[in-house]
Amino acid sequence: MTTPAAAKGKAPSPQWETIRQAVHSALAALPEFARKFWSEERHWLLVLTPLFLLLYGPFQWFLRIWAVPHSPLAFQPLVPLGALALAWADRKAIQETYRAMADIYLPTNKRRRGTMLLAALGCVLMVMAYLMMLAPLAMIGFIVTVAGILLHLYGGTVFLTMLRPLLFLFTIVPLPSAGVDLLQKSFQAGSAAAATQVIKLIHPSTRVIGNRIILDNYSTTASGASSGLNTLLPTLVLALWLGLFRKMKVGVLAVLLTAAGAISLLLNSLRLALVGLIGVYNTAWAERLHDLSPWVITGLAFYLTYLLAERIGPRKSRLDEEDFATP
Amino acid sequence: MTTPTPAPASPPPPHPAIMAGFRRLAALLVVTALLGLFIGFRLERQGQWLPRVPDQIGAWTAVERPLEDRTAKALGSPRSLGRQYVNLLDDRIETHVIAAESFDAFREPAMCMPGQGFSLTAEMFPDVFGPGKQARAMVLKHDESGTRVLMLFWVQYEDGSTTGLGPLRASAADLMPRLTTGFRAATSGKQAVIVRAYTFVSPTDPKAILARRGLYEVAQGLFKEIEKDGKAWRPGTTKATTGSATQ
Repeated sequence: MTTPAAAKGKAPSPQWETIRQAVHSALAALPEFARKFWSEERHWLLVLTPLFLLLYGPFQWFLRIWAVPHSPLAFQPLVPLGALALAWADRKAIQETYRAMADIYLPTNKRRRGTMLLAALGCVLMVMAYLMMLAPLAMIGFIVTVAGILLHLYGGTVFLTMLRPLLFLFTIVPLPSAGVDLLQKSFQAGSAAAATQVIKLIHPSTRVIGNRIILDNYSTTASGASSGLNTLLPTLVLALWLGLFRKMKVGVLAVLLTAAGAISLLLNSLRLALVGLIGVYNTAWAERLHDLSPWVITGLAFYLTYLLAERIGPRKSRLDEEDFATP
Repeated sequence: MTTPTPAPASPPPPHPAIMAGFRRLAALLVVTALLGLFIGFRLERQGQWLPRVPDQIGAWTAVERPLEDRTAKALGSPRSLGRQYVNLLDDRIETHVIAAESFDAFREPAMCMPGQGFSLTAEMFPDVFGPGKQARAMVLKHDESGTRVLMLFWVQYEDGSTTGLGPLRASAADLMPRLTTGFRAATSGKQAVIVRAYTFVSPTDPKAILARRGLYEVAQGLFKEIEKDGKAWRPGTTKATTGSATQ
């Protein structure tokens, strides 16, 4: 098969090729998946329909939080995709555990079912969230409900194999706005102070007031796209995902998360320092760099974190060739 | 001769024990979803009522003074009325009537003070408007100048009942008042307004006797007019935000 990379005379990157094949085969399998779901699994609609109806009100609250310009939580809609990828990577273990339980115990056996209390707790939290109109509580309630459904239907043993993606799902819980504002202010001031130290190497008269960096004939603020928190949080969540995906040990994961945070903050401070240095000569370019999407810095920070993970963590991805082989 | 391919056998239905689990969960989720939709509908309806306020309460004459933009924004930009009541001795009492559209509207009343910088030094919950009809009475003090303010804060429902419920801030300690407020709004379905009335205490009135007398008189006048409006109110009949009446 000729790939675009091969057509250009370059050797195809094995990782990208694997991912491309995986996406292609997943899309091709969708119609068959839908047919099979309807014929064999449509009883799931009994649970899924009210579950998503339950999310109807809170979903509008979440949208309002995520749609705020330069929101540090704008990455959260992507979290379910990360959780699905983790579940997909664990699917063999889940299937094997399920089959083993089915071989040993009859469907009527209590070991095949879990308690309904967790699902009930999730529902209580959802009702409380509706009464208090609290988005974070609604999201926690929803995740607990989903976990409760899985526990009740599959039992504790299978549930434990699904714990990793379920725990990762908690990164979608919106932080309280007052806390985000407070953190945002601290990070803005910190980024401005760090950037000022770099600028001082070239312009010693530079000073900082709060989140404002003042040079002789130019000034800029650590705010909006360059506030720091909106690159830190997504980088941390991506690093956590990578650590869970590669089944890193807790200590290694902690090192990776610390490094990811430091890299993200360092890059943002360097961006601000560059804004200040360029702004002295060309204001328009400086503004463009200042307003550069946080996703660019996040992408760069995560790439550096990824390179670090290659060195300190297990190098072999759990996505081996067999996982994505076309049937 | 070719043998026709046999149609794939339809998969066996899930075991009854498995289906029972699905049904139990479905029942739980349907009840919760309906409850959630009901609560959402009830809370969404809040804030439709903004009552008339009197132009005259005894010797006090009203002058229109809307909420500051900054304050209104912090309260979630609800519909509101602002009046300053002045008597012949030029004593002034500020009042705000705020439609309880969202939880933001219930926030700390001290933040409505011009310039802010006030701290709560004392509070109690007296029956200002009759037995069981409470308001929250507060003494606020300016951190720098020492100026004192007397404030009455209450939530008044369309049926005339009141509560002096504490304010809501963004802290864990306020979860209970928040839950209570949401529960009341969802179960009763009654419209409510938040009323704040405050006055500065003159240095010549160290025990705040005159200030308290004037504040109570205006608050009771406001209460009566709002109660009257609440009895006549039906959805869709709210007067314009400049609505007022003479008492």
